Amino acid sequence: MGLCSSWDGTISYSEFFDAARALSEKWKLSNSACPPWTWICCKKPFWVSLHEEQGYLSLENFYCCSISKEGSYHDQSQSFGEEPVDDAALDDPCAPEVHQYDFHIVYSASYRVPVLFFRGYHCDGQPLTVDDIEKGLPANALKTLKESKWTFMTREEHPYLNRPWYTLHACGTSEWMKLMFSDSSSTQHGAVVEQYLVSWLSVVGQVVGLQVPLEMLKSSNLKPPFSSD
Amino acid sequence: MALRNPQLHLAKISGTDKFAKVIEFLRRQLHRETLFVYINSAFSPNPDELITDLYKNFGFDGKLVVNYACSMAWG
Repeated sequence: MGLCSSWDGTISYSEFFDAARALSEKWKLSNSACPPWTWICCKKPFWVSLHEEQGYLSLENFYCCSISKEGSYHDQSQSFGEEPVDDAALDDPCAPEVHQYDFHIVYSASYRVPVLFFRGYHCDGQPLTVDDIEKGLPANALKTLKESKWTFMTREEHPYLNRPWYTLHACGTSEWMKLMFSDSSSTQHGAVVEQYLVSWLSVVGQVVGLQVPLEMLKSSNLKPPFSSD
Repeated sequence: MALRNPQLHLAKISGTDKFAKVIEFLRRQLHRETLFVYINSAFSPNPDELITDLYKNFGFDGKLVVNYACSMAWG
């Protein structure tokens, strides 16, 4: 297939499987302090699918400190944590700013791209509400959410767990994936598959505060585009 | 480090600045609220990354090539 202009930015299920393994291995190498991405096998009932085995990538128990507290980029343009601070909460080791997240990367057979499903908890185990999640979003993501309420992040049934999880919409994914790889000098489709989920996560992770380490993004297979001058 | 684009003014940025500054610069120059900014056709850097780290890891031929697209749709 190669990176010819006809590539539409999508991948097949078996490519997703390979990309998942690549992501999981790279993550383990350069992000060992973080929980690992593990492959969860799911056997669907035989009448649902002819495929003998399916699965998804899972990263659970990820602790996310309130992004706005660190004075980072996210709160420069917009302050959204303006509720009065409860002094008692500051001494609490389990302060309300720390949220626990579970992330699942599921393959969408309709869009032929990965889709992020996630849920979050307070430290006492209470699930995060939409409002709680909104408060923790980086300013950019929050703006996108306000502008396109129903086409960005919504709650939908998790395809394997059949429970409502938050998800990021996948209609546009193939477009921006195609764009990201469009002037790559790599002509090996295998190299693209290898890098696919890492690149995808570099975009999606920004929405939910999951940072991809730079070492992971350095791929020996993908060279910088040809210099124009 | 100089920010160069045929249609944009030349601007300078320090290596100790965050990538967020580049995004802001492009937004202002292009009058766009949402931009999709990516590097080396491989990934979209976190706005918190330092320019110097990106340059060290992904610079090539003395340059760090930053690509952008004016539209970014999720759904």
